[in-house]
Parts: sequence; structure tokens; C-alpha cells
Amino acid sequence: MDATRSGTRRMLRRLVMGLAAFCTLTTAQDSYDAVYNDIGSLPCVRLLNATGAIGCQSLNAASGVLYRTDTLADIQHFASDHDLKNKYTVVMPYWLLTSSNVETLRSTDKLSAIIAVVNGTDAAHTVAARPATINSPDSKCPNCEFGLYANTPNQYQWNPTGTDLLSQQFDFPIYALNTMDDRNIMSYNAVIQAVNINRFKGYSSYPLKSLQFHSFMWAAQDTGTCLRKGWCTPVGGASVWSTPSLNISSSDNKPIVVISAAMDSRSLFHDLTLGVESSITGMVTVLAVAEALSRSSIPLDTMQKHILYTLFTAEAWGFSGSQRFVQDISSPVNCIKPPASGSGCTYPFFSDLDFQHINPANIDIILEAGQVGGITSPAGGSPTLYAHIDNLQPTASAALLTQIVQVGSGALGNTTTPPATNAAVPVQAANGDGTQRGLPPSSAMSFLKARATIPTVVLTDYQKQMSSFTSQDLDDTWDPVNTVNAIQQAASVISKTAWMQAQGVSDATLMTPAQQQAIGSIQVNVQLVQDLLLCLTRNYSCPLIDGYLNVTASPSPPTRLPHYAGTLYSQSQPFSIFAWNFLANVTSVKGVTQNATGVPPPQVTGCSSRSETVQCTSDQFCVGDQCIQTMTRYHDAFGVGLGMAEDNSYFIKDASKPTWTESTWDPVGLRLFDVTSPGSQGGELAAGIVLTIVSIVLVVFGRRFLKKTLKVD
Amino acid sequence: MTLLTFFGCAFTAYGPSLAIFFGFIAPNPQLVILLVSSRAESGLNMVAKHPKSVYNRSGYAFAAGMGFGLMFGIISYITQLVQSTGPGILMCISCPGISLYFVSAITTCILILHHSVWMMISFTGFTMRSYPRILWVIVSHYGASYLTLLNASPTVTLGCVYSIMGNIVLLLASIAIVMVDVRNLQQKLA
Repeated sequence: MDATRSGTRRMLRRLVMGLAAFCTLTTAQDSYDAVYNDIGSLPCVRLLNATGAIGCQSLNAASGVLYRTDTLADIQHFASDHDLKNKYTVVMPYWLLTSSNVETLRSTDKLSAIIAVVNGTDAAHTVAARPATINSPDSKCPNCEFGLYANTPNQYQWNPTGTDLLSQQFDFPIYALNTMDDRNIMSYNAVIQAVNINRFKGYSSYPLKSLQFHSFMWAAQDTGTCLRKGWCTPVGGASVWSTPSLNISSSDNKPIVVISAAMDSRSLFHDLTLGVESSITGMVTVLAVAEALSRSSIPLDTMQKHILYTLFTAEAWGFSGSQRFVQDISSPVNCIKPPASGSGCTYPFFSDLDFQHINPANIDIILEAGQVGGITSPAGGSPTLYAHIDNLQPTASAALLTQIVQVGSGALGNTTTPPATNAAVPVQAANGDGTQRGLPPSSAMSFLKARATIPTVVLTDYQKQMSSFTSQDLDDTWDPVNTVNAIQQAASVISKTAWMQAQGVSDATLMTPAQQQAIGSIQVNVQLVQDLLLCLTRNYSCPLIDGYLNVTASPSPPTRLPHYAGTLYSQSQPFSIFAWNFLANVTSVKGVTQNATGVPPPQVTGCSSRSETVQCTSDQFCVGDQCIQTMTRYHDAFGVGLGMAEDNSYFIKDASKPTWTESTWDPVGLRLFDVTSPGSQGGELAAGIVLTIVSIVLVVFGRRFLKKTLKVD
Repeated sequence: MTLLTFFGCAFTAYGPSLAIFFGFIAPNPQLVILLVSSRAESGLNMVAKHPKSVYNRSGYAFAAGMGFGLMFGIISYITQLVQSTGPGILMCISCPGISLYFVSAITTCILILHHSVWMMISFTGFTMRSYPRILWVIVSHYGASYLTLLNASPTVTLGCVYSIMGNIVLLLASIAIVMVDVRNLQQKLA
């Protein structure tokens, strides 16, 4: 009986204690939530190369009273206002984030952090409030130190108004706000509401709203140091190459037509990096070319030349993707440690060795799509495409340039079918004005560095100067008419030129009637261009991508995904994965080619939806629920200045080549809260001390009084 | 910067009670035991310095009350005090110029002292079967608690001032009762 009672009592006691602990915890969380508002964050992070570091770092959890600046005058007022005695977080529109403004703020010793509003609903943050031209934050010649003309004196500056903000080092946090989804809209609204309260109070009537940042970056100094300590990872990802020639071989002596573009872009805030003009337009062009060429009535794998599509990533980081690809296909693989099973090599690491089928000596021409968005912001006007060639070996590419311009001029009849109200986008030689500028920064340079005489044309929408959107976080829109027209024309010109080249025709007028008829089958799908633009920028869960990857099956289907290359092997590569699937599908051997008896080869479908019953053979891949054979492969992309050791660690192999790494960082976070003035905090401390001292005095006197009157100790 | 608030609030909330603890209670081991356990009066009387002293009971009551008060003060305020080390603060709703941490520190300080005197009054009340004293303890306890609701009142301007002043008045009233009781004891002794 007693035992039962004591057992019950013990249980009761446990229950009460558990309840008390729960209440205490709940209270702690509740009171935290009452004080702090954790908001989403889009940080600027630290990157390193062989010689130093760029981007942002904050050793301590910086916090500052929110201060709003909408104009240059506001920034100057902040700098000269001596009544501001605290540390401040300055909220400004993105376009005010220039090197000089940052320096002005930093030199005041009042700056704690900067918040740049990329897009917002407040009048000061709308597109209308932006100045006509916002200079690119990239260097005056992006990546040119790793390009073809790195050793050429006075190389042409393609981005003369570039502010080079991206290559600066900031020892305080910089974060972005962008109203791109619900979570970020909430963050934006919270910060703007708070900063407006502070402005209303004249930044003097406390409590004021303050923001604290956690953005500690582990890496310091440079890539060599941080790699030794294991505090950084190479910037990189997966490039994709694909050819319709399943039997391509390094010894087939068949020339190769390379059609290339970059997949990635860069900007200050990697979560916001889209690079619509910077790189997506080029990527869309190559995908549209691949789709157009797949409709050729003459099978591509039967032509005189191979066609090779290459989409490189980490190009914004010293052409890492293309340089590594060229390096790997140019040197024989000496596999020291073969894999236990499967293809590839364990050390040096390669996931497959099929790139050895590509003989660099066979590369016959290169056609590259650069910035072809035709976003002639803000004046409007219709775009023109310019074909650039190398100026060191101009004769090598002269014939190809003539052919491109000829195809672009509509020599094959109506090359494009733009909407009735818009004329076809003209294609001109970039050196048509008599100035030889050479190639703009492009992946083709990596091939030309290996062999300078490859005929190469890079197609862009600029003749002399890159878009001011280059490497900007604001590079997130396009012109629904001009951009689609320009991409369509670029894709049309590249696909037809490539087709003719693959047929061994260098002049449109020399084509046989059969060829003239066959080339008519190559039409760029405008709807596809529009879909790709949308899918690759704002909606990764669009039907086109969903058809390949079933992304809508995920609990939260992705929409806008960043085009920053990411870190090697540690971040997913959504655009590489999509490009692989898309290229695999359009270059694969399916029902399009017919075998000798005129019967299409049997198609196997259901490998994804009914994976338990339908399985592809070992030489096949399951793409879009269909078993296909394809010569489409990923290729690791990271700076060729870096090497990978046998233990999977990285080291600097050649400091003169790209060695970009990204620092590892603690979880970044922002929290919003009220602060009192330093004066009132001092007052609280003084009050506490005074109260305690008075109490001690009273106790001493009290003891004496009691001893005297009551005769007790 | 936030350490200023933390130490300011810590001194405000616990400074006076700790001064009393170190001044009156800590020198006397029996009182320390009472402060912690509050259940050993008869036993302690036997080992007291003056086992027959009539003031023993008052002293024990005070120590036990102080123990009760400190327990209350730590449990109710420690979460907020720890929170005050962070950079953010919560403003007192009725007094938007003062942080809630500081207002709570003052309230905590007063309530710890309250518990000491309440315990003394209760001891006297229950030993002498004096129902008005017991009633006063209960009513003033409720009063002190409900007064703190004014801190969070959005409608009463300077509610925290009323709350603190009201609490001080209640405390002074209780102290007056205690002093009267001690005076009675003294007279009885005389």
C-alpha cells in the first residue's frame, strides 16, 4: 500500500517537474520571439583565390540601428550627421551600392552593416526609381586575366564602366533584400517597417529598431591558407557536353563543330544570381540550337562532321569550366587508381572517361552564344547581333564570320519567323567598323589558348561594350519581344551555320537543292525559347523541366534558383541536371532515326514512372521516362589552378590560373529587435548599483539598530 | 553594451535581498538552513544561541520568507535576466521609455522583500490565530500580483509607475504591521 502511494507520489512529482520544465522552456522561447524577429537572409559571402579574398566577412555578430538612405544625398547626410552616435545598419537601394558610397559609409566609423534592396515595393525601391544606367559591378574586363589576351598589351576593355565592386573585400556584412517570394517579402516588409519607424523617430528617440547579423566566414587570407585548414571549397560544378554522334571517337579523324555557352553567372549576392543577360540567354540559345538541329531531316550523326554541344559552368570564375574541359581532353588520363566498379577513375578523379572520345585536334570550328538577350535597357530599340572573331589570327575565322553574316542576313530565305510586327534581328560582323577588338570574354578562349587557329565566332548583342547588367543582381528581367527575337535569331544563325558546316558547306549559295530543302527543316522553336527563359529564371518547376525531372513531386517545388556555380560536389547543380536531360533527350537515338528496314527502333518507356518493372539496359539512360542511348556527359568544372589530391583534398597547382574557392560559413542569420540608447543602459546599471549600495548601508545601520533596541545579533 | 542592462537589472532585482542575506542571514548558520529548508524551527531552537529568545521566531520567519522570496525572484525573473544579455530588449508597454527587463527587476526586488515580511506576518498570524493578519497576507499578495498587470497595460498611461508605487505602499504597510508585532513582543518582554 505504502509502496503504491510512494510510487504514485513519485510519478506525480515527476509530472509536476516535467510540466515546470516545459513551462520554463516555452516561456524562454516565447520571450525570445517577443524580443527578436528572425528574418530570411541573402548574404554576401567570402571567396578566395591564390592572392587574396573578396566579398564579405564579419568576425563578430554585427548589429546596428537601421538607417534609411534612398539617395546619394541621404548617404552624404548620414556621413556628416554628428548627432548619430550609435552603430548603424544602412538600408539602401541596390543601385546605391557602389564602391565610393560604401567607402563613404565605412569611413564614418558608424557603419555596422549594409542592406541593399534589389527589388522592393516601396517607392524608392521600384524599377522606376532606378537611374537610367546602373554600372556593372564586375571589372572593366571580366575574367580577362585568365582569357586569351591576358598577355597581350592594352587588351580591349569590354566593360569600361564596370565598378569592380565584386572584387572588393568588405569586413562588415552586406545583405540583400528582394521581394521574390513570400519569405523574402516578409523579410523586406519587416525591415522597411522597422527602418521607417526609426526615420519617423529621427533616429534619436529610443527605442529604435536594430538588426543583428551573423555571417562569420571561416576562411581567411587566401585559397592556399584556407585549403590547408580545410575552411574553403573550390567554386565549381558540373559542365555538360553532348553530341548526337554516339560513336564519336578520338581516332575517327572526323572534324568537330563545337556549339558552346556558359551556364553560370556571378553577382554580389549568390542567392540572387540569375544573370539573364549575362549567361542565361546564351544557355537558352544553345539548348534551342540543339532542339532545332535535332529536327534535321538528314540525321546529324551521318554528317561529315560531329556536332558537340558544350555548356560550361563556373565560367564566371576564370572560365573554370571550359579551361578544365580543354585541359582534360587535351592530356591523356593516367589513371593511377581505377575504380572498384563502374566507369571513370578514382585518382585522379573522373566520374567517366568518355571525354577522351573528343580529340581536340579534330575541333574544326567553334560557335559560341554570349550575351544575346538584346536587353538594350532602358531606351528600348531593336537589338542587333554582332559576330566577334579573334584578332590575333583573324584570317582563321574570316570565312566563318562571312558565313555567319550571310546566314544572318537571310541568304537562306527567311531565317527566322518573328512576330509579324518585328523585323528579323540583323547579324553584323563586330569588326565591321574597322576596329579589331578580338573576342569578348568567352569559353571559346579556352579552346583557342590550346590551339589559336580554330575558326571561332562568338555571337553577342553588343559590339563594343558588354551589357551594364553584366554580373548584376538586377540582371533578372528580359524584354518579352526583343530578347526572344534575339535568342531566336542567334539560335537560328548558329544552328544553320553549324548544319552547313557539318555538311561541309561553307557558302550558302553552293548548297545542293537537297541540302537547301533539308536545311529548311531546321526551325528554332519560339515557344521553346520562351519556355526556357521562364524555366531557367523564375520557375524551375515549369512543365518543361517537370517533364524531365518530376520536380513538382517534391513537397515544395522550386521556383527561382540561383545561377551561381556553387561549390564543387557539395551543392546541387539544378541547371546542369536539366541541361543534361534536355541535351540527352534531343541528341539521343530514339524514334527519329530509322534503322535499315525503315522501322523505328523500339522505344522503352516507363523507366521512371514504373521503375520497378521497366529497367533500361546498362548502356542506356532513363530520360523523361524513356530509355535512351546518348553521348551526353557531365564534366567537373573548377579552377585549373587547383588540383585534387588522392585523399580528396585540394591544393594550389598553379597560382597563375583560376583558384577560386568559397569560404565555409556558419549558418547566417538576421534578427530584428528594439534597442535602448547606450545612455539609458548606463542609467540602468547606475540605478542597480546605487540601489545595492543603499541596501548595504541600510543593512549595516539596521543591524546596529536591532542590536541596540532589541538586543539581538 | 547589453552587459550594462544585464548587470543593472541583476543589481536592481537581487542587490537589496543579497545585502540582507549577507548582512542578516549568512552570519547565522541556522537562518541559512531555514532560508533553504524552512522546516526545522523546533530543532533549530534547541541549538540556537539564545534558545529562549522570543525574537527567534521572527528571525526564523524572516529567513524563511527571504528564502521563499529569493526562490520566487530567481524562478520568475531569471529567464528575462538571461535574455537581457542579448542585444534586443522588450519595452514596457505602459511605460514605452523603459525596458521591461528593468521594470521587472524593480518588481522582483520589491516582491522578494514582500515575501520576507509576509512570512513574518503569517507566522505571527498563525501562532496568535489572528485572522486579520492572515487575511492581509492573502489580500496583499493578490494585490501585489495583480498590480503588476498594469505593466503590460496598453491603456493605462505610466501603468508601471502605479504598479511599482502600489507595491511599495503594500510593502510599507506590511513592514508597519511587522514593526507593530515586534514592538508588542518587546513590550511583552519588558
